[in-house]
Amino acid sequence: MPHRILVVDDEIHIARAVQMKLARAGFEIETAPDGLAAWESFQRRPPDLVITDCQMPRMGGIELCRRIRENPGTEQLPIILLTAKGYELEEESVMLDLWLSALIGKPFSPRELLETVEGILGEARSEAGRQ
Amino acid sequence: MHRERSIWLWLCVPPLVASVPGALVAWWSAGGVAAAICVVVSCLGGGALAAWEARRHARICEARLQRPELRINGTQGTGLYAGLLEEAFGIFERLEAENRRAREERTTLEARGQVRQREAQRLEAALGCVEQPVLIVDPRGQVCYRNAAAAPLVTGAPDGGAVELVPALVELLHETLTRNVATNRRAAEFEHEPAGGPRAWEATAVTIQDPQDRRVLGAVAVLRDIAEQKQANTRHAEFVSSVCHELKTPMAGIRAYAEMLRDGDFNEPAEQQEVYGFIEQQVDRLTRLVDNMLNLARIESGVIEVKREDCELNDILRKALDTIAPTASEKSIRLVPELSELYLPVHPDRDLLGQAIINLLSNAVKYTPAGGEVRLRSRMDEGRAVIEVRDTGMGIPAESLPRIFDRFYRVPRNNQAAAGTGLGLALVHYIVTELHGGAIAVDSALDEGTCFTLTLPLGHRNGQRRKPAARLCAV
Repeated sequence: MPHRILVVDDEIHIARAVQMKLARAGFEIETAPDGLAAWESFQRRPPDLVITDCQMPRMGGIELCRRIRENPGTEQLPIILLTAKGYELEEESVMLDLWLSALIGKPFSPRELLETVEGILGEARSEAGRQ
Repeated sequence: MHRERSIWLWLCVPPLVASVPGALVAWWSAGGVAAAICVVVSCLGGGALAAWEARRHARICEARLQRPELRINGTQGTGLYAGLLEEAFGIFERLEAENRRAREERTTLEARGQVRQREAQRLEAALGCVEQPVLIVDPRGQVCYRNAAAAPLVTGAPDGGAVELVPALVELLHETLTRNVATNRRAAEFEHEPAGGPRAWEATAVTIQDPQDRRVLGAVAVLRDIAEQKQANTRHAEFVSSVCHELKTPMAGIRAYAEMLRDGDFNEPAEQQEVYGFIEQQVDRLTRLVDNMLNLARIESGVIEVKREDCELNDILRKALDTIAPTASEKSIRLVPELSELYLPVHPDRDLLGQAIINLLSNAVKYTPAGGEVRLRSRMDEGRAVIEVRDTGMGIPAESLPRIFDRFYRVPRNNQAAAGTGLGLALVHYIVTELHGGAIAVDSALDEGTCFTLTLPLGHRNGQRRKPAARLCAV
């Protein structure tokens, strides 16, 4: 059963690039154009990992992360923040506040993103195996 | 002192002189009691005589004192009181000299006082004209002076009531007055919210010292309103951040697809074609952003070159629609052209006007949720060309409408929704109104949509002016 990943970005070409890269590696990908659409999809069926942009219409990535963390059962769901924001996003505090698994700046390398995703999900799998 | 005493001695002499012969006669003729009565009567008589004589001479002396030329040898003919009068004249002349000196001193002091007062008035008036708030406090920190500009920084009655400073200033002045060993100058920045709205200040306080003994006489604080500077700094930082974001987003796409192409992630020709299309779109997007920034920089430096030519408005609109169509389609937004069937002759700079229309369409697509609609309409109205860009997007709050054409301004509510630089509409406004003599209006309802209406002068300029469609007039 492949891992399900929810990719959230209002820039369709970015979401499509991530989708194509990860789908080729065998992951099951679902995309959403904004935080609210992602949250609705999330509530229907939580994925194994969320990759989200920050600035989006209707609901941004930070708010989506907060909701995921406040949702019972998904407090520790791995989240990767993929953002073009610079220094104004205080990286460390965001990482700590939202328990992010990774924060990747745009422009990004899809290859490195895939490695990060595999690392996170592989770790999660091995932890699950140990338990 | 002994001179004054001697005057009294002189006044005692006549009664004594008069009483002695009277007492002798009474003692010889009538014995002890009668002699005593005689002494008293003789003293009273002598006293009266002396008083009368003194009064007469006083009148003479007074007359002479009033006329200084008679004072020389003023004691002549005054008999018994010659010495007394001489002393009186001396005292009088001394007092008069002292009085004269005092009067002169007073006049000098009054003149100096007036000069000082005028100087103080001039300084106060000058400080009153200074736009920066100026405050002077005494060594205890009590306000002794403030100019008109400092009014928002003090509370309390202006008519002599207790004046209190804002706490940040109190602290600064206290520090300046108490810790003036290493330096007598201190600066601080603080924010304060008077009735007119929040302000940010930069205050510099310096102690005032007596030039002779270096004693601290108080402190003066001069303030500078740095609200605008702070806003400008914030706007600049936000602008830089927005530009970076706007540049990074298309770059991210190009970077990602280039790497994936190299990694051989796309085997299917159809996939490859899709990716090339994405890359092209993102390069065009970067070019538009750079063009916007360059044109704004040219406008600001006054070196923008406008190449106007005769052309048809709908041509420009169609090209703009073609440019924006892929972005609209990506977001599943319906792009509806509703172009006039009439030939709309205009004389614009094709690139700049095209850029303005693309900016409006791009904004409309950006702030309209997926599944919405963006409509571009052109028509002729009262001899002018009218262009409408209408969307079914999130709308602009009424309070933001007056500012949307300001450089770097971004509607706070929409700022969260999508990235942007705040340059697009400023450029549209400048291109339409300043460069093409047109007008721009905006109408918006929250969560319903926005409509930008541009009006441009109609007609060609190069001799082949085409008349707008003929009008039927009822005669």
